[in-house]
Amino acid sequence: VPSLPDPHDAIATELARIGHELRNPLNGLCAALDVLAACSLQDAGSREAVEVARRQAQRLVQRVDDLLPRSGRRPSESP
Amino acid sequence: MQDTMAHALIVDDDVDGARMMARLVANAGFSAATAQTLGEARRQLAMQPPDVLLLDLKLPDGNGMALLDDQDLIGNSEVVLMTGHASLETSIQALRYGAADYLVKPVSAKQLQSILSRVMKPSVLKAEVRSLHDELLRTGRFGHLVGTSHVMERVYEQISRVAGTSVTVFVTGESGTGKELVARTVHDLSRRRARPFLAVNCGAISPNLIESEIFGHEKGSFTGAERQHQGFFERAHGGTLFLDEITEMPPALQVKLLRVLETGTFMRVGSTTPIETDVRVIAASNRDPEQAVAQGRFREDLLYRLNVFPIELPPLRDRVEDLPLLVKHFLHDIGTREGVVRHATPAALERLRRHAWPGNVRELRNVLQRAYVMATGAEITDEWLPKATEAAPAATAIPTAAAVPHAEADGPVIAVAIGTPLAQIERQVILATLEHYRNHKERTAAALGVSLKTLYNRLKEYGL
Repeated sequence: VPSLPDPHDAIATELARIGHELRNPLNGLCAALDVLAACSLQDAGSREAVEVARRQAQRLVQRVDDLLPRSGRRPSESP
Repeated sequence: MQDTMAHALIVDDDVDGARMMARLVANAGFSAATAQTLGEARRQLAMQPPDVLLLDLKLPDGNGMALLDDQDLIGNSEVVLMTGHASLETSIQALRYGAADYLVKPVSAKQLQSILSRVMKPSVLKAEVRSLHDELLRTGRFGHLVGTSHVMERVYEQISRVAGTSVTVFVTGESGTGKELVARTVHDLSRRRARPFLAVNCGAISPNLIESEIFGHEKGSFTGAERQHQGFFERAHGGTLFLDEITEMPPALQVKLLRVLETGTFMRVGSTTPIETDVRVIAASNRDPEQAVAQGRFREDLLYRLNVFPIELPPLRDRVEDLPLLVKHFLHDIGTREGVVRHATPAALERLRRHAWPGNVRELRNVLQRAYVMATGAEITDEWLPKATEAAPAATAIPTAAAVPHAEADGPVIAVAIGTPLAQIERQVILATLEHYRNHKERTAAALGVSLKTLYNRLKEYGL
């Protein structure tokens, strides 16, 4: 009887793949926002908008970090 | 000006990401080019060799690691890997192949700046490493370390290689071998040396306090937290944080440390705002960290993160040839402090050479301190020195037991850490006895109280 693959392994692999696919666009997004933030923006509105975008992007990164499966801990057990 | 400007090449198949990173790099005063494939990268490398190469691993025409094999192309460049998913295996492999650092995407402007500021003047650090090597030849010292033995030279080599990077270092070695001095030397040889070096003993801080000590806390986050407190990570910003006895860290904190290492951010106790941190972590342990993992006391993934660049410090008994130099160094220090210089007699040196030094260099320092105080003349004789069979008198965190071949109560000893597997002790004793009797098998067998046949069987097992 061929053994079935461990569903946890499959989940972990899938999460790693999703993580990877999210990190590439996030890299472009965060870098672009860092570039914007380094520009001398004229009005308070655009400065605020850039700050909000950066903060929210950072939250997104945090979420992706949380997805990260680690050895010794199943993704479902994340604190 | 054009030709003196440092150049960076960014290799990433994500065009937008590469272009934006090129802009950030340009903001830091570099000229920057991008490439989307391995082939294009090779072309660019040949055309204009960069000072720093930011390299994505997953490229359409192959793995970015392939470039690391080509020393002709990247020999003059610092290679920094950027990985999409934090596959540590690959990253660590790359570091061992010669990459200077690696970043997990998304790469922040701060991380980039930190890397680039280091890349800008590698020549300065390299010159300093060279001058330390000159000093080593002249005085037998390397940074904060003393000794010219082969085993120590290996340690110096490793320190020189890793100091200029921001890679995490894991120092192992018995208690008293000088793990903190290794960390300080790494710090002093890095671009971080103008910033703080903080040492924390994870085994010595109360488990209740250690989290707020390391990460800080907000006012009112717990009873007694009357004001905001900056933790070690904040205070060491830009510098080096030395975490000694790391395997003693409480499990809950291990998770948090792992997070800092992975994301470069942490949160104060009682806060939900992540703070970015630029700290190089050097961890140390006087016991085998793998064993702590096997016992479930230490997280495997954290060890993996910390153990990127391991440095193993030899015990003093494995470098007795350094004893005269170490004795001279310590007596000089004590003499300078006390105002009277005292030297050790040849007999005293011989006595020291025969001691097993379970407490290592720290024990030697304490022994000399005591002998210096007790000495009345200009010489330190063997009168106040430990006998060869004497167990460690001074601070020794690793409990040791001295094993003396019964045939010779005054002979050399070997030290065995508590918890050493019996088979290993047997092997150690057999080999040490054999060496002591200069390979004379009959005498070795007689001293060990076994038949010649048993001895031969054991040696065969050990492949000798």
